[in-house]
Amino acid sequence: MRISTGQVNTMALTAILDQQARLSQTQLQLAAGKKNLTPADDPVAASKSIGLDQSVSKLQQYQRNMDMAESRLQLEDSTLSDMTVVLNRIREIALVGNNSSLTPEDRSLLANEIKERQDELLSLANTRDSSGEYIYAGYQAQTQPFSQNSSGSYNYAGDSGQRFLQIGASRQIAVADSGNDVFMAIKNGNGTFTVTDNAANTGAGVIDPGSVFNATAYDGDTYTLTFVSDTSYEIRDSSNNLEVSGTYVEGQQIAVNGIQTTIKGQPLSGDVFTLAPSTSKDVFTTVNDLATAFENSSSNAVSTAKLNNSVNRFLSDIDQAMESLINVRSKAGARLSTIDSQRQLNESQDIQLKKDLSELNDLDYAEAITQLNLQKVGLEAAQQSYLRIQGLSLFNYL
Amino acid sequence: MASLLGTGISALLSTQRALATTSQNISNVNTEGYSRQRVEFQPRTPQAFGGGFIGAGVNVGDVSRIYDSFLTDQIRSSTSGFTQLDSYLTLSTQVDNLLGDPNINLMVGVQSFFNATQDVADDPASIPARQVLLSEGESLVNRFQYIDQRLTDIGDVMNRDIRGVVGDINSLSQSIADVNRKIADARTLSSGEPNDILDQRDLLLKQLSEKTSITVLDQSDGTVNVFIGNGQAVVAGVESRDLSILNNEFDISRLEVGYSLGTSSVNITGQVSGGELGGLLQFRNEVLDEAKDSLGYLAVGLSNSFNQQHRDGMDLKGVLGGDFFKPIDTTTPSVLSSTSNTGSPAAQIDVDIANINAYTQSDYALDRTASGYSLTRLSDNTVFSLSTFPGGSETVDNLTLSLSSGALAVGDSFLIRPLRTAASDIGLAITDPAAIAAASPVRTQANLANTGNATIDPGAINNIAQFDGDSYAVNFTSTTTYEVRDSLNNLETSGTYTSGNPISFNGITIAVSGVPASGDNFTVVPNSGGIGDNRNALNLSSLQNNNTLLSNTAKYSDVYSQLIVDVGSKTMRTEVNRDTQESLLQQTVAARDSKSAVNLDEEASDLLRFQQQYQAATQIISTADSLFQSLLGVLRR
Repeated sequence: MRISTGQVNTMALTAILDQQARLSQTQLQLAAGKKNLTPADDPVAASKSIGLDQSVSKLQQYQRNMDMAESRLQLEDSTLSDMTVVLNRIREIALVGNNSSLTPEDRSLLANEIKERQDELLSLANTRDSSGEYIYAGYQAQTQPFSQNSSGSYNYAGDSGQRFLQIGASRQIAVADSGNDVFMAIKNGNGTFTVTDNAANTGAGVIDPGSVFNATAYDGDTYTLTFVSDTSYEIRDSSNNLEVSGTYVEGQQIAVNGIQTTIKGQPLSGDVFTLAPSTSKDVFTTVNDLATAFENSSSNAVSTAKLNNSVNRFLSDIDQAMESLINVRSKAGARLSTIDSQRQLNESQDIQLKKDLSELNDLDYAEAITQLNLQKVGLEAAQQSYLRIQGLSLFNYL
Repeated sequence: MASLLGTGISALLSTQRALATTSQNISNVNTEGYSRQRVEFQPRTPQAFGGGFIGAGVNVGDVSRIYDSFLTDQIRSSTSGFTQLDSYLTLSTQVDNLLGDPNINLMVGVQSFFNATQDVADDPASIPARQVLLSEGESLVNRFQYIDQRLTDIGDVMNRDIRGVVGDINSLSQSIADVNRKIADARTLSSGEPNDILDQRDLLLKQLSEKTSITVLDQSDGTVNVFIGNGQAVVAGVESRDLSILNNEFDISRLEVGYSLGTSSVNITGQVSGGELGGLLQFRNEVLDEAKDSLGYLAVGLSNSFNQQHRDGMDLKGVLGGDFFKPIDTTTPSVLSSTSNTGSPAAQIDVDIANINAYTQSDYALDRTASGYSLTRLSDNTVFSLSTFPGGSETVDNLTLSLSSGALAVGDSFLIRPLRTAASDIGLAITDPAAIAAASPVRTQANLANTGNATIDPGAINNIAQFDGDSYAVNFTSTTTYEVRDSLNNLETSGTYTSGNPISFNGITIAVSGVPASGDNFTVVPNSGGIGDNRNALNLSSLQNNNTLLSNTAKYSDVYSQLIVDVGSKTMRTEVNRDTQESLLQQTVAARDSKSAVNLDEEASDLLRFQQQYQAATQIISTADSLFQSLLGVLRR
C-alpha cells in the first residue's frame, strides 16, 4: 500500500497528540482525585451525585433541628423536675399542717411558706428559653402564659399549640407541651369524681376522696349526700331522685352507682356532701386553695373538720397534678430518646450516602497511577520512534 | 538521420517536461489538497516506408493528476459530519458543565433555601432566622438568573458563530465561482486539464463542506454547481448566490438563514444541515432552547407551589401570607407577535399559566384565520379552536389567554413561549422578614370543662379563599353527633361522629379523635398572637420532598435531574459519535493521500529515472551529430 510523505508525518503526529491527550486527562484526574472531571464524563453519575449531595445536606439540617429540639426538651424536663420538687415540698407542708396539734398561728406561718412556693411554681411555669420565648405558652410565644387575677383565680393567656420539628425525612417530633395540657387540664378529685363538704355544714364529719369500684355502673351524675338526721343519710341524684339511704356508721363504706366513700367523725343533721364528676382544675388553684384553708383555720372541732376535708381534697388534687407532670415528663423523656435513636439512624445514613458519593466520584489511585505510567511510556515510545523514521529519505543519498 | 535527431530531440523535450512535472510534485509535497501529477509518454506516429514503420520518438500526451473523485466526495461528506458533531459538542459541553457543576448547579441553591425554611420552622419568631431565609431566597433567585444568563451568553456565542459561518460560506462560494471561471478560461487555452486550478477548487469545496453539507455536480464546461440544504444553489457556474442572516419573524434575537431569490429572501433554516452551521442550529433546537425551557418550568413551578403554600399561612403580624416569590406564572412575558402582523392597534395579549403542574412544555402558536381563532401546540401540532377569545378570556391546555387591548387581523399570528425567559424573571415579592408566613391562621382548643377524653387536632387550611377568619364551636350534641356553629351561632355543618374522620367547613379541616361525652365542645379560632406556631413553615419545608410538578409525578430535584441527564447524555453521545466520525475522516483522508499525495522517495527515484533518460537522449543527439560529421567528412575532399 502506498503512503505519501505527508501521511507519514500526519499519522505519527496524530498518534503523539492522542497519547498526549490521554496522558493529560489521567494527570488531571490524579490532581483532582476524581474519576469524572466534567458531567459529560458520566451524566448519570453527575445527576446521582447532585441528588446524594442534597441528601447529605438534608441530614445535616435534621441534625441541627435535633440539637434545637434537644435543648428545648431538656429545658422542659428540668423545669418539670423542679416543679415536682416544689409540689412535693408543698405536699409535706399539707401533711404537717393537717396535724391537729398545730395552732392557727403555726398554720399561718405554713401558709406563708406555701405562698412562697406558689411564686416559685408560677415563675417555673413562666420559664423562657434562650430566645426569650415562653415554653409553656403554646403558640403565644411572647405572651406570659400564667398570671393571677385580683380575684385570686389563675389565668392562662397562652393556647393549646404544640410545636413540632422535622428530625428525619418523614419524622416530626413535638418539642413543647402547652401550659394548658400540663398545668390547666388536670382532673381534680380522684380523677373520676370529687367529694366536697358544704361550707355551711355545722357538723364535724370528714369525708375521704373516695374511689370507683364499678366503672360501668357509674353514670357521671352529681350525687348529693344529705344527713337527714344525725345518724341517717340520703343520697339523691341531680334530679333529686333517691338513690341510697342508710344509717351512718363511722368509717363504713357509703356507695352509690359504682362509686364509694367513707365518712369519719360526727356530722350533724343538715350537713351536705356533694359527689360530682371530676372537672379540670389547674395546679396553681389547687395550691392556692390549700394556702387559703391554712389561713382560715381555727381551733374548734368544726373548723378542724373543714380543714381536714380541705387537706384531703388538696392531697388528691395535688396527686393528680403530680401525675400529670410525671406523664408529661415521661413524654418529654421518650421524645429525647427518640431523638437519640434518630440521630444514630441519621448518622449511619450519612455514612452510607458518603460511601455512595465516593464510589461514584472518587478516583481509584492505584488504577490511575498504573495507567499514567503506561501512557507515559506510550507517549515516549511514539515520540522517539517518530524521530527515528522522520529523517529517512532517498534524497539523503543522492 | 533527420529522424534520429528528431527522435533524440523529442526525447529531450519530453524528458524535460517529465522532470518539470516531477519537480512540481516535489515542490508541492506539503501543499494541502495537491494531487500529484504524472506525465503520459506516448510514442509519436511512426513513419511508414517501404519495408515497414520506423518510430518517430516520444511525445508528452498529457499531464494528468492522480485523482479519485469518489474519495474526494467521501472526504467532503465525512468532513461535514465531523464538523457538525464538533461544533455541537463544543457548545453542549459548556451547557453540560454549567448545569452539572457540583458547586454552581441549581440544586445546591434549592437545598440551602429549604434548609433555611427548616431553620425558620425551628424558631419561627426569630427575626434573624427569617432574615436568613430571605437571603437564601435571594441567593436562589440569583442562581436561577445566573444560569439563565450563562445560557444566554452561550446563545450569543452561537449567534456570533452563525454569522461568521454564513459569511464564510458566502466568501467561499464567491471564490469557487471565480475559480470556475478560471477553469473554464484555461480549458479554452489547451486541451489538457488545468490540474493545479482543479486542486485549488477541490480545496475550496472541502473548506465549504466544513461549513455545511454540500452536493457538487460537474458541468460539461468544467465548472461545478454547488447545492446546499434542499437544493439551493450557492454556486451556479461562474455565478454565486449569497446566503443572508434573517431575524425570526417573532423573535428578532433568533437568527435564521436566508437564501436570496432575486428581490426577496426565503428562509431555509429548517433545510440546512451538516457542517458547522448544521451543528449550531441543531444545538440551538435540541439543547439550548430545551435547557432554557426546563429551567423556566422549574422557576415557575417552584415559585408557584411555594407561593400557594405560603398563602395558606399567617405572618408574624397576624396577616395572611401573600406571595413569597413574584408570581411569574402570570407575569412573565410570553407572547411575541410576528413582524408581518397587520392588526391595528397592535394586539396586546396576556397569557397566564393556569396550572404549571399539568403544563406541557411546548411553545404555542396563536393564529387568526378566516374561519376563526386557533391555538396550536407546536410540540405535536395539536390544534385547539378558541371560542370565547378574544371577547373574553379563555383557558385551554393550561394556558389562560385574554386580549387586553388592540385587535387581531386575519392572517396575524403570535408565538407563545411562557417558559423561555421565566428563569430570568424569578424574584422575591417580600423584603420584610416579618412577612414570612410561618404560622397557620387557625388553631383549636378543647374546653377544659369537657368530661370525655376526645382530643382535637391543631386544625389546617384546605382552601384559603374560603377561610373567613371567624371563630367556630364544635359541639357534641350526643356522643355520636356533632354540630359546628360560627360566632353568631349559625349552623355550618353537622353530622355523625367517627373518631379521626376529618370535618371541613369554610376552608378549614379539623379532626376529632377519641370518645367525647355529650356536651363536650371544642373551639376553632383565628390564631392571633400565635408567633410561636411553625406549622406553615413545616409545610413549606416539606414541599421539597413532595411531587409538586409534572402532573404530580416529580419533585423539583427530579425535574432538574431530568434536564442534566438529558443534556449530559446528548453531550456524551455526540462525543462518542464525533470520535467515530473523526477516525472515519482520518481513514478517508489516508485513502485519498495514499492515491493522490506525493511521496518524496518516489519522486526521487523518478528524478533519477528521467535524468538517466535525458542523459541517454543527449547521447542520441551526439551520435546523430557524429554520423552527420562523418557524412560531411566524406563529402569534403
